[in-house]
Amino acid sequence: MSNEEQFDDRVKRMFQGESIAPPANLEERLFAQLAPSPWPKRLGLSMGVLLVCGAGWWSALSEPEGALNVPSHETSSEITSAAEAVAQPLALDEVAPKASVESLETKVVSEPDATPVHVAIEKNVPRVTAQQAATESSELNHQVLESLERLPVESISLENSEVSTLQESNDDQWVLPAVVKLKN
Amino acid sequence: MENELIELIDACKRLEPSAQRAVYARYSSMLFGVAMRYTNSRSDAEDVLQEAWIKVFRHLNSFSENNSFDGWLRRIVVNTAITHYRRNLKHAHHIDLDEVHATPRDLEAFKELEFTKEELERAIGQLPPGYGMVFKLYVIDGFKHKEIAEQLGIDLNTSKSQLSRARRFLQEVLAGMSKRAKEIES
Repeated sequence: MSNEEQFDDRVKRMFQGESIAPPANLEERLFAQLAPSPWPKRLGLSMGVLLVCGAGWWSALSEPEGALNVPSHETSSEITSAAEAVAQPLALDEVAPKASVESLETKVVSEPDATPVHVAIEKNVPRVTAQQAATESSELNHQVLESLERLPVESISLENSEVSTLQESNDDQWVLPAVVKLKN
Repeated sequence: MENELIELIDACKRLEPSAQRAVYARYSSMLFGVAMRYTNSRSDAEDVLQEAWIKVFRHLNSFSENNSFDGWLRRIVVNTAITHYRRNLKHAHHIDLDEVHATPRDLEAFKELEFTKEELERAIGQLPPGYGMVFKLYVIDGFKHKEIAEQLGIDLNTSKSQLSRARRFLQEVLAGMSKRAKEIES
């Protein structure tokens, strides 16, 4: 063994088995850092996000007037109330079983031959989680949209040759350029 | 490796807090000693140890039971300390050992030299940081020059020359301490 190796070995032996007790608070600091974030905090955060998304979605849907700019058709405001009834459970961790809606009926007032559009919602909803409630509400949204699409909105065909006559009266009935604007 | 330790490690891999605390209690003193050796202050050593334990628990799945668990833990603490050292290096004033006027002396005389661990620690503490790191990594923790060069971002020959100079410097300092101690005794 060379002199250098002897020196190294002597130094190494001096540090063998070296131990110094760390401060007591270090353990708590460490395990506090290792612990995952508490469940209620994460749940609250995700529920908050769901609530905001749901509220934004329903506020967009709850403006039927102006959404369809067809004067002869009226959409029942029951859609809004039903939407609110469905959106409400999103704010809760678990949805109470009473949160059920009998049915949602969309009426077309001025069309005598128009049949009411029924949007069926499950009766006697059992206890469901917020995630299930969110899924159901998105399904309902889809159904409501479908029902709106089925409304008998007559389109007016516009051909180049008829442009000049559109503004003219035809007997006692005026035909105006029909513009249908859809919001969202 | 003993069965009890294997079970503890397996439980830690399953993220069981009680097992993690048991492993911490078993090894934290040893690892704090390592962290203290590579840092300038107790608070730095605490930071290094905490960071190292987080790495240990997060990367425990990469530990093979064929290896020494102590050695694996020490490596993580040393590597964390090196990272800490390199992070602070840009703020440190670089001192070359030539400026310290170390006088080369035959290590033969050193064999007869009596010194305590405290005196050795004090002498190591007088080494410029880079030299001290190389010396501790090579002599105490058994790193190879290639590993030291990679870890510290220095040339392989720099690692070798710094180790050689560090040895001579320590010999000089320890000889001086021994001489003063004898003068006081007499």
